[in-house]
Amino acid sequence: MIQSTSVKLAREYETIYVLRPDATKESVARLSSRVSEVVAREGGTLTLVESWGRRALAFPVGKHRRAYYIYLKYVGGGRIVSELERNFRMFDEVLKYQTVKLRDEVDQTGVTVNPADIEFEMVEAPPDEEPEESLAAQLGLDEAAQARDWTARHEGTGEEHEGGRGRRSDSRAPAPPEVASDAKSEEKSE
Amino acid sequence: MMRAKPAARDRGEMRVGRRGCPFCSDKNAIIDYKDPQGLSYFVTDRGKIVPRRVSGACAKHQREIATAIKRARSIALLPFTANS
Repeated sequence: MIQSTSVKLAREYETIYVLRPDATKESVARLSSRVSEVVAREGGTLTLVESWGRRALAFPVGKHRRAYYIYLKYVGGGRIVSELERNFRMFDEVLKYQTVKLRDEVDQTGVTVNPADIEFEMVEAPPDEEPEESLAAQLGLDEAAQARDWTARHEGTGEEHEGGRGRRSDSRAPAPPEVASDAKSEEKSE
Repeated sequence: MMRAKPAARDRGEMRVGRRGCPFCSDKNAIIDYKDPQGLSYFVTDRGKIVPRRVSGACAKHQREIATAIKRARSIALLPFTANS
């Protein structure tokens, strides 16, 4: 190796890891503290931690359409990378991770770190976005559930018409899916 | 002595895209896999990598573009295929 020089040379890496959108604040904070712990334990220097927030994925990953992106930059040896990735595999919240080597032969002692840059600030509170549509709903398979909801809503008023209800709900059975499909097409057009 | 080759247009060929590598002509432009917006110019609407003959990039930069697109795909910033 070229380590014979007096200055200890390290490499600079960047890592992006992607978390499930439903990850709790505590688990995200726990993971990020684990990351800084690992980097410190392996003799590296964390130089940047950036939270990109919740972004849309280019394709669904594990049925999730959005995910939290967190970006790290650090200087150190290659063992940090393998140790970090081992930790990412242990956390169920991590959907994806990727490490890229930026530079070889970085003088680690000369690296200056702005403490504000490596402070992990939690991404904004989950906005009340539209709930992720389940696959069944997308395919229109849970019309049965929608119809059940519909009758449940409309039954409360008709307690005394016990006898007629069976026939009435039969005759109206096609109505709820229509309503549902209207609602869906409106959503799409937005 | 040297007979001039007919111009490309006369030979029935159409030049697609621009002349010259966009990254050689602009030294400040960087190819970054973390910037899916910038890469989307080199991806078709079906998610395929645009060939050199269309993108106009030189071999070196086309290589970098392709690597960046593949990295962006792997971290779900760009699609592998058209998502319809």
